[in-house]
Amino acid sequence: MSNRLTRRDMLRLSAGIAGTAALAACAPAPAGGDTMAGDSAAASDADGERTQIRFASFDWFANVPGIQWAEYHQDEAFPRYYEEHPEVEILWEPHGDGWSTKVLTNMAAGTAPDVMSTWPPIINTWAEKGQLLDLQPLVDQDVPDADDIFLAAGWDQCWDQITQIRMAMVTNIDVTSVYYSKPAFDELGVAYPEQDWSVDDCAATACALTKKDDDGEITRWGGQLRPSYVLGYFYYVEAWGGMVRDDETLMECMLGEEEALAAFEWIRHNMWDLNCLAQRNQVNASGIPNTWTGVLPADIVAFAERSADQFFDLADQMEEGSWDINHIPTGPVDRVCMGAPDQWCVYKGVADRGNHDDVWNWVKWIGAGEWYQDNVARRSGRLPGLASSADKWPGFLREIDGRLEPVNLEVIVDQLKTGEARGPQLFRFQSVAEELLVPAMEAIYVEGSEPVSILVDISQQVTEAQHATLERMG
Amino acid sequence: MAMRLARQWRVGSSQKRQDLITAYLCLLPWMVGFLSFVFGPMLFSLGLSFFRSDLLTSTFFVGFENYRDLFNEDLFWKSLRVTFIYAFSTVPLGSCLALMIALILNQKLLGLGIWRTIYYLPTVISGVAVSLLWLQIFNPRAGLLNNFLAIFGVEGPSWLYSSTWALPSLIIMSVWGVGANMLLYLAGLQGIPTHLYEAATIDGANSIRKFWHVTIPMLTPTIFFNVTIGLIYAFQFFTQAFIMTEGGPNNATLSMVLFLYRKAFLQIRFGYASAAAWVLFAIIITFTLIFQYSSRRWVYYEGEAAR
Repeated sequence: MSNRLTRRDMLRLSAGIAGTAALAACAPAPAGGDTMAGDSAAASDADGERTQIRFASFDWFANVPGIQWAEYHQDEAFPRYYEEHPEVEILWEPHGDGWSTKVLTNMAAGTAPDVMSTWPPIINTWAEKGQLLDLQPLVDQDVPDADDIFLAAGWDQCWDQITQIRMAMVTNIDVTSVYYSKPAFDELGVAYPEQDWSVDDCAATACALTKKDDDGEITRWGGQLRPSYVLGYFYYVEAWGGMVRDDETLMECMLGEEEALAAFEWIRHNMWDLNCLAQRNQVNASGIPNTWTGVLPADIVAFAERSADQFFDLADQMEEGSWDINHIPTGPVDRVCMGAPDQWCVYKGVADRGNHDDVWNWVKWIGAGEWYQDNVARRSGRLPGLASSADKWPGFLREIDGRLEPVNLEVIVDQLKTGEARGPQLFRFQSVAEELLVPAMEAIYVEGSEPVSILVDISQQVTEAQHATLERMG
Repeated sequence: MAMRLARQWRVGSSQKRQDLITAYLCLLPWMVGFLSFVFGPMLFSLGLSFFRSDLLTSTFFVGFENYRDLFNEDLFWKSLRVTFIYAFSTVPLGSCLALMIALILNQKLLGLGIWRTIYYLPTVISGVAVSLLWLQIFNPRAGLLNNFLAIFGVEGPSWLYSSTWALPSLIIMSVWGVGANMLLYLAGLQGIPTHLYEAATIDGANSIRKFWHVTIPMLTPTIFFNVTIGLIYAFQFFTQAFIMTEGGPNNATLSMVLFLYRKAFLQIRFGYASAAAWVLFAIIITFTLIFQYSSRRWVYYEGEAAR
């Protein structure tokens, strides 16, 4: 018998495949939902199987060495949850690169995951576009003491002022603090920063710690403000008593006002005129492999504002007891730093997918459950949103790595509890504002080519752009 | 075309019909893919460009309002300027360099295969990896480029961190990908009949005259192809700007595709972004057609001469 495929065979085969594909395409969809999860959930119910929950999370989350966030969930958290809820199955969907774009596309198609990790201002945009389930009625029913048990710095940012909904539960909170190298201070006989140091102290310390070689070239800058995102400097506006935008409409830009300009000028002066605070490009040009975690170990700067994700890296790269953490310096009016949460939100589509209650139970378990929130600290090294877990966070970190014993981790919890750590003052249409503000801030701080006074005009343009956007939306 | 195929069907023999069926079946997967994933979305985006839409909540027909707003937006013109500078710098630069390398690799060099592989290799590396690599090369203090310039006593600029130098940096970086063009030129060069060079030698032509009067005319179809495709790609440049500069500093590297990406996915204005995409499409098609039309005057196909 010949194995040769004749043209006739090929035609028959092709026609067969095409016919099968056509029949499959024309077959009726399972009832009970117009989405992937909806379909699966409805199908599961009908078969008496477990209800599925699509859980989309960052997969780069863990700071603790050796812990993979994806593995932790699948090996520990999910099995633990199944003990209490055998009726559900959680499907892990790692966000990956470009996650916000993908989720947006999913939302347009009605196929967004049931539960999604996110952060401001992305979540605010999703809320504005009506894509999120309002969790407030569920919180009122099941977590009535929510306002007391969650850290306000994170919890408050889960409420959307425009749509008046509870957008999310807190995963963890990131806080900006000052990390400093003790040998750099000791070398020049400069006192370590005190808890209540002011911006004047900060500037003077930075200049005292800035070192130059024989040619007058700076070999180490005294300090560095939080880099990577120039809008991070807006916290200093609040420290000077100013506002980024009005509190009512969130559309009137106030960055051209006296207090804001004074704060911006303080930064610019110390960064560009005195150069005691390193410019972003100077640090980027230093050649160290990681400009985020490497500046202190490489002695590029003596102190630096950074996120609460430095501990294990610094423990690895610096001698035990040679570095510590302090508060952000106090401005003329206030002391403010970034306290921004990662969050879990729920796609509005769950209302029609048949898994609404199961989804909420899961979100409640990870958002308000002590076991999971403790593990946000234990397994990821980040600060949990649940106040009781946050209190235990320094202890958990020291259990993981004994070299953190002499580090004042309590400063960070203190920053959260005293209200020093706050969410960003976001505009109603943040991306529209950023389109104007980022180039202006880059011109001032990255290139040093413009004075801060350009913000008077830019500020006006931002306000106009906000109103134009609102008008366009009808 | 359809009429012709229908006629063929009617008058053709049974064998021909079977051939046609086979051909259609083979074409079907591509046609389905093209209609579903290219042509369909293109038509959808054309329609969308006449609506004010975020694809999530509301969609209003606004006629040409998106196009009008686009032409009134300063940032759009800035992105257009950046795109034009990039396209009309990278394409001639890349083409000349690719031709130069191809000419060298067309000689009888030792280890020719290795050299060709080396020059082609960068083409197979992903855009993201290339961008990360060039970030290091352009590092003002520790980067290769400024250290190289320092050997000659030249203090290099801040490259990607300067609004003056950021776009030239991306243009310089574009030469990294000349390997693909080089390969096509190489194929073109090897397709030039040797008897033309022999005839030119007998006529007393030196190397330069042979290059201008034999090599270049015979390569014009390859040049035409490379430049056309190069322009189409250059007008759509995105990855490098997105990864290396995010369009900055001060929007100095804001390409049109990055502009429309921001409008679509950050400001969630899909109708407006679609309008921007169609303006870009119109620009690309206009230049392609102009180039196509002009090719009649300067592109030489050997086969045509024989007809």
